[in-house]
Amino acid sequence: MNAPALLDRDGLASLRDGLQAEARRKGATIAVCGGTGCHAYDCGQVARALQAEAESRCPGVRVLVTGCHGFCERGPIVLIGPEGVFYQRVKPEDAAEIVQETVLNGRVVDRLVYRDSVSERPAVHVREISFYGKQTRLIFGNNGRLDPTDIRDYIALDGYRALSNALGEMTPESVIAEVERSGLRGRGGAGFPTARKWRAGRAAAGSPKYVVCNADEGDPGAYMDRSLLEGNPHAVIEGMAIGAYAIGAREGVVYVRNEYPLAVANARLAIEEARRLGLLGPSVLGSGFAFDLRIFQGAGAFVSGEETSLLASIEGRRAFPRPRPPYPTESGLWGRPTVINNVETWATVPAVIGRGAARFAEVGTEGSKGTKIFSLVGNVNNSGLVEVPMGITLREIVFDIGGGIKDGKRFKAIQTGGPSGGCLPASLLDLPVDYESLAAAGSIMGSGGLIVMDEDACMVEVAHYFLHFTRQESCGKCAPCRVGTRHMHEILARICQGGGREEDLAKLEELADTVRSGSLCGLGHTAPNPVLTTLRYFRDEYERHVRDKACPAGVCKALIEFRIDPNRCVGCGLCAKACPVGAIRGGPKQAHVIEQDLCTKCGACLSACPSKIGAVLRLTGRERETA
Amino acid sequence: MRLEIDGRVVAAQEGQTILEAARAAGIAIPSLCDHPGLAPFGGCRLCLVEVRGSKAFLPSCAVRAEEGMTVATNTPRLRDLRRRILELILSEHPYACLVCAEKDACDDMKSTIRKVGETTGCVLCPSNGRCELQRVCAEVGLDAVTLPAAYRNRDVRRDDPFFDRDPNSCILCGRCVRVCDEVRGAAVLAFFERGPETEVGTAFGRTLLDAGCQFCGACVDVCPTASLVERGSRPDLRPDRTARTVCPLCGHGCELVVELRDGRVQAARPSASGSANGGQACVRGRFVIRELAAGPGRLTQPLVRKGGVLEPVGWDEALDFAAGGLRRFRPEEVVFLGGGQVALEDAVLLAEFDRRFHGGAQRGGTPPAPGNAVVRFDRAEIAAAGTVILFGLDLPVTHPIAWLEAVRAGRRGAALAVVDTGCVPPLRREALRVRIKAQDAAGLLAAILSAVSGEKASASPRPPDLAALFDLAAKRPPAVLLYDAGLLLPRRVEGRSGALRVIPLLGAVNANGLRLAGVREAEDGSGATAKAVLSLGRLPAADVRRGEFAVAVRCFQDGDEAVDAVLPAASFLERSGTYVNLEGRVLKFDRVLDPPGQAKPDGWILAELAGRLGIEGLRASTEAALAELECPTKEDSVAGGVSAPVLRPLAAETELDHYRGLDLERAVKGLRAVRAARRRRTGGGR
Repeated sequence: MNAPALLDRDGLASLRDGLQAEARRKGATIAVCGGTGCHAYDCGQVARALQAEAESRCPGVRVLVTGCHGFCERGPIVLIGPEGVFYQRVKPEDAAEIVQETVLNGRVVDRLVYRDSVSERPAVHVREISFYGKQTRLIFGNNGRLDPTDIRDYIALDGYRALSNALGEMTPESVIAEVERSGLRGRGGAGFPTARKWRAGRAAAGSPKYVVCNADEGDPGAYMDRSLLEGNPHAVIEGMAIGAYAIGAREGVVYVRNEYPLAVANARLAIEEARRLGLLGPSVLGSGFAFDLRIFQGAGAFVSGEETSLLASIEGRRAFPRPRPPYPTESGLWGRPTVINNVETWATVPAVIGRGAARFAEVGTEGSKGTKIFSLVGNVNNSGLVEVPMGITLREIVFDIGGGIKDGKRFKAIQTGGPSGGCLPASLLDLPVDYESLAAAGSIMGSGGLIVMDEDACMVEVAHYFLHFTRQESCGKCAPCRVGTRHMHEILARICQGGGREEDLAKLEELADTVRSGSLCGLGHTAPNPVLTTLRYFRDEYERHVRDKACPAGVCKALIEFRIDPNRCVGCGLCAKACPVGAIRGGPKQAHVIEQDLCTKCGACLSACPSKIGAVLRLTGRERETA
Repeated sequence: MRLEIDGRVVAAQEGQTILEAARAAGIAIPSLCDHPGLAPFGGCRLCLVEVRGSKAFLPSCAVRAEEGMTVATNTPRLRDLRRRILELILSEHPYACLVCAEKDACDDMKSTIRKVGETTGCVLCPSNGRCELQRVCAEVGLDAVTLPAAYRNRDVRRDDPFFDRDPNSCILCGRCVRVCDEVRGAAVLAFFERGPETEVGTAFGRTLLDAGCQFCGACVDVCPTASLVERGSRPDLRPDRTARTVCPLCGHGCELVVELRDGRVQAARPSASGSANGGQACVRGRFVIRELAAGPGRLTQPLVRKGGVLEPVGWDEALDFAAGGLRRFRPEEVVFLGGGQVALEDAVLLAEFDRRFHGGAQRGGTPPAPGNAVVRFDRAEIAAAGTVILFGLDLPVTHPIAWLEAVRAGRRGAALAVVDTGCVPPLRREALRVRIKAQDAAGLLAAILSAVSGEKASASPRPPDLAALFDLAAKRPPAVLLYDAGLLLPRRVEGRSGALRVIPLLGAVNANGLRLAGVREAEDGSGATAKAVLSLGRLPAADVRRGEFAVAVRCFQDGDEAVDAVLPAASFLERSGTYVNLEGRVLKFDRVLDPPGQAKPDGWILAELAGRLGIEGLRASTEAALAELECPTKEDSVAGGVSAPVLRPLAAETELDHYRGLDLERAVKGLRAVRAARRRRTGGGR
């Protein structure tokens, strides 16, 4: 690296000016998404092919592997700058054509262009893609523009400018005041006002003080923190440095789960690079403010994402939460004042300080400012990471950004906030997404998981599934969570098995209240949400399970059976071939019969039977008696 | 400060929790995981209260009382929630009896008691009657459990000495885990697994022995149920009375409560009020006392050697025989030896007997023999240290209560350093270990002592082997160095120089008392040249002793010694008395049992023997001796250089685990296993 060993504020500014001028000179770039999703599609091969092609054909063009672009459904993604041509599902063999046609000749390769999932219209540029159209990519946008392993890219995008300004022009109090004006609330789940937390940390007696980054993203299917740390680690470092300056901390810890190897590697490298440039260390940017960071790799327990368990884990103890108060701001890591925020919150801080609180607060609602990153997954056409302004409706997220439900099915429910979030029905699709509205509906913002479910989902089974998760991940410390989730799970299992009793629903509600009100930490407080919301919005499904022993969605195996309508069956034998256990009998041109004792209810026969014949029936409840 | 609890204005002290403040004011809040002396846990959730201004229910065990707080502990909502939480707890525990409407009648009606493998209900549970779940069920008013039983059905672990572990009774309150870590510094017990599979156990499911447990029994004593229970406890054998005593098995003198039934000791537990031990004990006090009280080889009548064989005789014959034997020698050929487990009263009597037998005047403020200075310190000094240095000591074994103070210091951030002569296994959180040769120990210690005594401070260079130690001590002041007083007997027994404080730890419960009384111990070596010996403690080994006649006053027959008369003494349980422990604390104890057979208190034996030797009216008071203890200039009056090092074997435990003729390690199988496991960790055999 040809940068000076240690930067001061002026040095940073001139380095930035130089890098920006260089970027303008160079012009075209080829950005290959290197996020976890695209990795799974082997984007590395694509990047290497493009690299080789560019080196031989147009040496001035830079090929960079960036962080996650969010549109994981369509990976590997390649973005040609500066115009922003968007190619999806790129293969290594496309490299030559991309370089020749698009980079050198300025023409679009039609085959690689994204077509809208609904309108089928081609969208050549990022701005034309509906998935990106309704997003406000304030925090996440830089992910696609920089190489996370090269600090110069971040600096060229005005990185560390906010830190420089804070150190040079602001007092710690004024930093906190600015964060307060921005209305920023913690992105980890509970939405606690960030400035209030920092102020408490600053006011707390005791030293040293610590800042901690919670990157123990444990919600299944949620990966926004992972993608931020992988794709833009310097934003997190800069945010933590600003926070440390504000509260008076000299040390910070990034707690990353061990299952995120790329995040660990990129964050580690970023810390080293920042240290080498004097952006971390005994005198950050020559200001005299000392701050350094280290990484702690968690061993992987859902509960470690709870802040007090996370701190216990760093201290080498079992990840048990402890009662609050005292809050970590008063007695945190090693009993010292500690401000702990999650990845997204820290990554948002440079945007707040750099662009000013007022601009940040222009986005969002009265109580929830700015943007929030969600991982949009499930039965939706465009799954991926989306950053949206607070207050956007669920409908906009699911249908405008997400492109609606897969295979033309009907929307049934959306679960917000991870495994302990609530399941919201279609009638709440116009609910604005902010902390208060979600809470009022019985759900949570959580860290930002959004799971879309279509008409084929059984909501009792969904509740059963999530309670299985929380039951297993309960740390075991407090009785309501440890034992309560177990009993709830067992009741739900019984209902799905067809052993549901009329009084079960009341018992579930009672247990849910015990767990929610009696538990020690957030895990227990929210664990009943899937049960409570499904009971609230999909009670009829429970009642059908309990009273009619029927699963309307046809999911709960104990409550369904497959039969072949002899009047429709033409005896083609496709079902018998598909059956993995040989449970279907019948000769050519004879009506086939399923032997119920052998049937495992896998549904293969139903899929195999040609739809125009439709002889295989899935029956549940009374249908089984009458059929 | 003042706060309002349930409409009452209640005074609370700074730092008190809401639970403590409420209980001090007589307001009952049920709880299971809370325990005095342990950090708040907040796991059982029974002590939840409503605090104005807080949306969530707060665990009163974990939240500090604050000025002006308004707390409600007993609203309908809380009562309901508590009942439901308790139901959840009980659903993991064999609960049928707990909520049985007939439970009061059951104890009267049951006719037989069966030995069952697992606890399935209260009636056959060893903790029946002292189980905290029973108490809490009554407090909360639970009379039915509406949830299906979720019995864990795990194996009961019975493969360790002294107590069993039954995971099926466990309510996961974590008291055992916390006391093992926070108080005992052992962390042998821990939580494993997650969710409903959570259990308390040892790493890799090893036995407690293999996991390094020292069997202090603290976990057993804090267990609210029967998950950890002393082996042999039975629900049908409740103690008929309890009594206080002092454990004589190490230098600390832990105050114990013994539980008795039909005149037999069923159990001994540390008393919560003991000043010498603060509610803790060790394997000796907790489990060995019980076996000692029923110990094998207890002497119940005098024995004299007739034709080469020890034969039982009556007291008169035995005393005449002993007196006759001693009379055969000139007084200067006879030596009287005390023992560290003899009460102060008898030590004083022995000293008086000694003086008059040897032609001295009646006692009146005679200074103790040189080299016998009293040791005084406050063990809180250890807890306050920045560096704790263990010099050739396996402290958790030799001085378990002092170890607790070192643990306390460690929790505050102090560094623990070990000077290892080959007898100290790896200790938890030790910051530095210096290995030295056993034969260099006394010399190095003498060098340290002379360095800190200030006499030749400048002239004596720091022992180079210990440079790292001194560097650590200088970096983390104040430093305390603890060593086995048996290693070296300096005339000035304590040292302090700058930040380093040197404390010799005595090994016997009344070693200080003997010093106050001016009694010699066998360890002095003084018995080696005498021709006749009267000893209340250990006898010098036969190959050292050139003697021709020996009288032993003891409680247990120690078979392999050449003794001419054995006089059976009452044990510490069978008489009242006083010990002055290693800190200089005066510990009084009462008679708990009658002496067995013809055993008599030491004082009676000494007086009878003296009478037969023409010394009438032998009596002495402890006042003068205790007055010396109070004398603050004592330390200075014995100031002087360091005496020639007296080298003794460093394996202090072999001397520790004895009581007046009984080799506890040999007599108590469990203790033998514990000590053997410890030696394996040290890497040495025996």
